Amino acid sequence: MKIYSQGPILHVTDLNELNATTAPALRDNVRAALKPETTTVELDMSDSKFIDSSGLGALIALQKTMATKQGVLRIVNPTSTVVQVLELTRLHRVLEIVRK
Amino acid sequence: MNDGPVATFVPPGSETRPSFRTEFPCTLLAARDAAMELRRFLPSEGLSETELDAWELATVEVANNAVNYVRDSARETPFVVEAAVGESHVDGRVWDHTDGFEMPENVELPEFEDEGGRGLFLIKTLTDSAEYLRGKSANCFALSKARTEPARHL
Repeated sequence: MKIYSQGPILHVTDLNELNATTAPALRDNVRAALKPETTTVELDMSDSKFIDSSGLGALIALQKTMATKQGVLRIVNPTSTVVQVLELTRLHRVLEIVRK
Repeated sequence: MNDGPVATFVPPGSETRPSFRTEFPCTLLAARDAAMELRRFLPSEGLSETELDAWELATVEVANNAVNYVRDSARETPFVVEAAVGESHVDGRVWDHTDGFEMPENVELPEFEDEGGRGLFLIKTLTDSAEYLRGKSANCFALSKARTEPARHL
């Protein structure tokens, strides 16, 4: 997982999996990397081959974190596998999914 | 079920069906490995990518449950993942050493802001049948799912 800031955007890339062993690190590392000026967290999920309920929990946790900062969480270019799980759990209705 | 080694699930007729059985240490990393190992076994039986995705996710959710709620006295006891592939169905079993739980008849999604509580929903949704059988020293999560295409080479 790589995390870097670009102005108000915090980019997270190289997310191969979001599972019970990796989700806590994503949540904690992103929270630790947030700066006062960060308004957007972009999770590049174009390489994410797998997500489970723990991974979904991390996405919701980060969405809530950003909401407290009046910011947004964006799921960028999710793979079809990730989209299927988001749709199955109806989280695609509340998480911002963007294609770039 | 008596104390001692975990029994192997043998569904009727399974002696003629391709089957999978592996023990895993009681860790979340091993739970993920268990699901990946099952997925690697299943393609040889001609399942579609969608079916493989469903089995991988359902298995990891069940296995995570086996790890997260294991009894302290059973942390050194492996959990067991089994599967048997038939012409029309795939059956999977995960044996755990937790205190067990009562499987609700209907599983609803939690509120959006809840960070947990989706595992059981995924398990039920991804399979045609999900039963939880409680035993004295071990419990069995029994999953079954119809194949979307008939077996090509069984």
